[in-house]
Amino acid sequence: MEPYEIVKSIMITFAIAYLLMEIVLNLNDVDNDTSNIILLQWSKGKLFIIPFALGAIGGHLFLGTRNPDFKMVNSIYPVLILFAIAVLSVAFSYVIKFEKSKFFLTSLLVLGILYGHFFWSMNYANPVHP
Amino acid sequence: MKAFLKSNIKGILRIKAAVAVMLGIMIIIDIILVMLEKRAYPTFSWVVRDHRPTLLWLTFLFGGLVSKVFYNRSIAYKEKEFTGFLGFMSVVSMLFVLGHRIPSVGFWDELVTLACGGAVAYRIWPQYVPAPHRTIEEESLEALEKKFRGEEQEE
Repeated sequence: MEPYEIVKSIMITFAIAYLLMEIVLNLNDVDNDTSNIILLQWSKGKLFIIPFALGAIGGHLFLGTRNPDFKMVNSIYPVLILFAIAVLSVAFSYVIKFEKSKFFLTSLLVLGILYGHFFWSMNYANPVHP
Repeated sequence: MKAFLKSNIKGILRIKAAVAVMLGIMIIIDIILVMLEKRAYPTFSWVVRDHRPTLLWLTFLFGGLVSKVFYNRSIAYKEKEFTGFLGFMSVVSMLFVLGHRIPSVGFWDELVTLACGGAVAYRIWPQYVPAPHRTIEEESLEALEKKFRGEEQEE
């Protein structure tokens, strides 16, 4: 089996496992146990970095600028910066407790999309994707 | 009642652990794939980058799932929830077929698909949240719905 096919199979396996889990969680007798509610609970708690991270992953995977001016020196830097922001945000949440409103979470989501689009793009050297 | 609550909490904790483990395994596999780059193993990101048209359905699904997390519309009656999920998945299936017929997608195609995934999930895939104190209107709405469905089945 080709390496590319192996990775695609892993992705499909995860997607199917996730969908099956969601269907089971939707149909079972326990309320408020679907993964989206769990992720929202985490976002409103100490892991308020989740909307930023999801936005960054979305911007990275599906958008991505072609403008090389935004490219970092090393392609691992955007991942390391994201990891550092995540660690700092968790540490911050232990020091200061505050309410995470919908506006706050939306702002983080938009900032994450912009971060993924500009600084974590896969299209700097891709002439096909605008 | 206490036993029921305890068993539910345990179940939810298990699900939380399952979600965390799944995310963790995906990150670890991606790190391993980065290390195997020299042996021609692509990362998850590269697979998405190299198959943008055929993975247009994934863009829509991602938009929908993010919308389900942060802009979830709650309803207090359970029956319609699963039909919404099926409706959303039928759009995903349609995009799967269409994606195999188009040569390329651009930035605006992806952005609009992401936004549409979010909007469609918000509109047709609401979340059942049990109301602690149901209003008379909500109770009668559900009773009417059940009655209507019963009549439909009889016919």
